[in-house]
Amino acid sequence: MIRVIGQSIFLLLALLLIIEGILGPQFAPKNLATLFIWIHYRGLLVLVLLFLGNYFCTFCPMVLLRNMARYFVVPPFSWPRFLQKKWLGILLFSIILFSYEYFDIWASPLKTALLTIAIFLFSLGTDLLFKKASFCKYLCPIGQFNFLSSTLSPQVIKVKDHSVCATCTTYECLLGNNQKKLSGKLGCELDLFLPQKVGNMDCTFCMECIQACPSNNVAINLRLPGIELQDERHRAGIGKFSKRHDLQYLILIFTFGALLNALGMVGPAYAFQEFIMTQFKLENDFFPLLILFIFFLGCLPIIAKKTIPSRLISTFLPLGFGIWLAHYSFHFLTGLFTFVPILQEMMGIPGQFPLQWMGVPESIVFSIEMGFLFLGFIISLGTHYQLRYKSNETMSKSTIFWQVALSIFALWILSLPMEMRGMA
Amino acid sequence: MPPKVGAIQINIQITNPNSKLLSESPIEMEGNMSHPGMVPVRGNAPLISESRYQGNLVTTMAGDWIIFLKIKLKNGEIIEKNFPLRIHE
Repeated sequence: MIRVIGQSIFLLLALLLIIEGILGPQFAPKNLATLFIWIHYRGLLVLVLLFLGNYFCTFCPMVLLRNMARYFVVPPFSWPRFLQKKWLGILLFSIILFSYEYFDIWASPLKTALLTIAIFLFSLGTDLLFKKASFCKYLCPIGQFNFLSSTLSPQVIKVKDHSVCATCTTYECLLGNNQKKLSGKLGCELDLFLPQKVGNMDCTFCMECIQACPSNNVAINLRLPGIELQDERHRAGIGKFSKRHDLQYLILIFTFGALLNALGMVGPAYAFQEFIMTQFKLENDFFPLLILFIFFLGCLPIIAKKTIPSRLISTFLPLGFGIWLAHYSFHFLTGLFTFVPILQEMMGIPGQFPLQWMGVPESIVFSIEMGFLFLGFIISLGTHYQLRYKSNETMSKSTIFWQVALSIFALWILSLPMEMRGMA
Repeated sequence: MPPKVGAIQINIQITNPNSKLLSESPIEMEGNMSHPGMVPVRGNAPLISESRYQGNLVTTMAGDWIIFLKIKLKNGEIIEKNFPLRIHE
């Protein structure tokens, strides 16, 4: 019930922001759609993932819409077997990152609203055609981001006592129960069989398994963030990270994407684009941007994948998450209360909200950014060390090289003065 | 010379067909970056000669800005104008 209330609140908020994006002032800093979606939503998302768990998936309004629609439409198909990998998710994640930069979506309330509508419709269309949580598991770009990031969360849903599962013959955690009744539970729609579930990957924190288990043997537990990256067991619904090429590319694109997304806001990226545009007499930045994306999300992950041992690729997650955290928390904290003057104007409240109250000073936020980056680097290196130690191997030189190089590059980007260009 | 990060001087000239002074009040200025969530900068541009106003804004970051002007006319009417400005590092 709490979940439905939370989802309803998020759905209402999404609707209001879509209306604001379409009908409100078309200048991003003075529109709540662009402000809340690109600053507050993303900032809260990474902080909730860091301090709690994947609760944004728990309260995802798209799932509420889907569940309502499924009372009237029963999906006819199962998600095709040949697509049961993350490749389409990787493609969508990359397309969103590229569109965000090329179309300056962050600078346009209308485009922000249209993107939100498109994701809602795409999710609804997919889940009315295909059974279970096909969109969440294979397509949702936000979901993929959350799944990867939640491997660093302190909370995890897991079995309390494995001996209880050993005597279970009904598998409600996976298959659900009483599904024809309103009070029935679906079981895990992402095919995570709880006795073999390891960590948070692909877990939407929907709590269906907790409620479905007749022995009350599933619960939310606290654990050391990132510890699951040292666990090389076969994971239910996933397999082994080291055997899944799609997952390894997803991890690398998540990490290099973090760098690229931050790079898009500093001078050297603009200088590069201008250089290419001048040299080739181009009228817009499509090709320079495409070159950057092919390099960061194509070439670098391929080279990294070829030079890093497969079982160590997951050790890049803490670093990638650290960079996303540093970037998004910067915007969130420095612009924490920038929505107040907009609300003031909407409600006709006179007076000027003091500038110094609008956000945390940049000098403080910079230290926090560096802390997140350093933490990500240390956990990456520590996980790498632990995995090699367990198999009596020395640390991989190529992996150390990539981990240090990426950290230095991230440090350089985050230390540069920001330069935000783009008018939608 | 392109405007750079830091204090920039804004000169505003307001004219009307009969060249009468439209306002004696300073023009309120607010600079916003094109990216949402950035703290704006504010300043005033007082009248320095007939129809000319001048004031400073301290920009905090390179990139694309929009400068919003609020002009209070003698008859109490408020006119709002804005213009884009690229600030360089």
